[in-house]
Amino acid sequence: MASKGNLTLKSCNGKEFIVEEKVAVMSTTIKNMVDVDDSFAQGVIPIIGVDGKILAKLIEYCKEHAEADEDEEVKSEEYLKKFDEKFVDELNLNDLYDLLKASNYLEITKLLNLLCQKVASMIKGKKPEEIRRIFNIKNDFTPEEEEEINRQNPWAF
Amino acid sequence: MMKKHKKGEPLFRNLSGARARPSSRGVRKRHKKGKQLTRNILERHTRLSSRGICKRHKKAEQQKNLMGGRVGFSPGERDGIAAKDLTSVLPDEILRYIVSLLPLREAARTSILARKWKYLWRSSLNLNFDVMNMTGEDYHEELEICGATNLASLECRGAVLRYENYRKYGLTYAFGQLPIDFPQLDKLTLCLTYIDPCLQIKKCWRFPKHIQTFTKLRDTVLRMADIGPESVLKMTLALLKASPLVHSLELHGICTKNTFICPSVVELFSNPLLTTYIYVLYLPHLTDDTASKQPNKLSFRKLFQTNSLKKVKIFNLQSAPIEVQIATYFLRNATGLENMTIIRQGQLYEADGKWWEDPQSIPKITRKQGSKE
Repeated sequence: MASKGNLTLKSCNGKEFIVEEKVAVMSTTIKNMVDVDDSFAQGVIPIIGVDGKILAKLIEYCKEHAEADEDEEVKSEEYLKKFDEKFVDELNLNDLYDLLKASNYLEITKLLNLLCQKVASMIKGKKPEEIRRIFNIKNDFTPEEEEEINRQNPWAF
Repeated sequence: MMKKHKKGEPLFRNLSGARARPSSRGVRKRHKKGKQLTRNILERHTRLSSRGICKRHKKAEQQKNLMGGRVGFSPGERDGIAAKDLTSVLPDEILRYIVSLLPLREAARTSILARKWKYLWRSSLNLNFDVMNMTGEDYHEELEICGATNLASLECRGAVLRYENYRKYGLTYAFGQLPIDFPQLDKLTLCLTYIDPCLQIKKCWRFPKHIQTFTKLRDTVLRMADIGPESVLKMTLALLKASPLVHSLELHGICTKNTFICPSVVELFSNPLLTTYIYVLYLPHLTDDTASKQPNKLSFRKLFQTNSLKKVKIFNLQSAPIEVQIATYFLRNATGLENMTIIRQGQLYEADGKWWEDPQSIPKITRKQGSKE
């Protein structure tokens, strides 16, 4: 059992993480669980659909941001910005997807924002073919349909 | 951008209502009258945007370099093996949000990616009608704007609002049709940022007599540097009357000596609904000739002791006595003032991340500095 002020999070593949409450409640979903039911604060909180690797990433992010919220002098805004940049740069595409889904489910707004910005920046300034290649999107339009879309929004292309 | 949501719900709801349909409400931007009027501005536009494109290119180039390494690609993915399709893995709500972060032009371009993407951009909650990124250099294009009825935040910049003779757009559209098309609108930004003296003199602005009610609007930004100062005030008042929930207003406008004796100013500042009020002033350029004609003392209306004015930003302040008076006037009367910024250059936010600088306003070296109180 976790000591007071700490929570235990359990990933879907059974890995347990003991984290400080202030870190865990960066997630609104977890915050609501703990607020509503005390037994969560005592026992283990299962995080469904999130595996150990992704959960560790999430905790890493939340820890930095929770500490920065508490003490601005040690972790300045600039430091956080650098941390965020490094954090998203080190992700591969699969991790990026998993983190997006997990942060949406756990309602970690800041992280979700950051990750969406990252994906948007990957799309920005690229041709459709390039975007399809990067994200492995299959073009399921017929040539006629494609023509039609081009005709509908001529200003965009 | 992120809005409050109910406990226990995922951040993004499925906005089935926002599912857009191909809309017949098009915006036809091809107009003969408008064309004549725009030639002059178009030239400037073109110049600016070609500069902008260079910049954009550079950015894209930088991004490419950034992404060249491991970012986004595991080795297997680069060979095209076994990588998952972004669209099949992520929920629509997230994709929609990602698309909403793109400039409108690029957001619209995602419609060609695949079937799933076709209408995503149209149901985005946040569209930025920045004419520069919508149409690039030639904005006499036919625009088809979506039927995104759940839109919460809307920005209209530049020529979209400039010519009221466009079938749908112009201020007539902004005040007449906008609240009907987008009833959920929470934040509205209207920007017209060219100072074009001939437009002001011709008084080609006609405001619609009846303004529709903006039922949910809470936050407004008006940058109407084009329009004569008095008309801006009148228009702002009309908009406030039509928006019962507005509590925050950011107003940008040219300020002349007449601004402060205009009765609308009193009404505007004493509006009890506004809790946050930001005023950005552009002082008109004073040549030596006109400066000498300015009265030494302004007869300000004894108008307001306002708490709601939180921030004042003054551009093109060259320390002429009259300009200093304007600044001190705010310091005396705005009791809730938290921040005052004085900028000597005359510059305006154009669009698409670019600024327009008034070449005349660069301070002369020989000019004597007036002492500030």
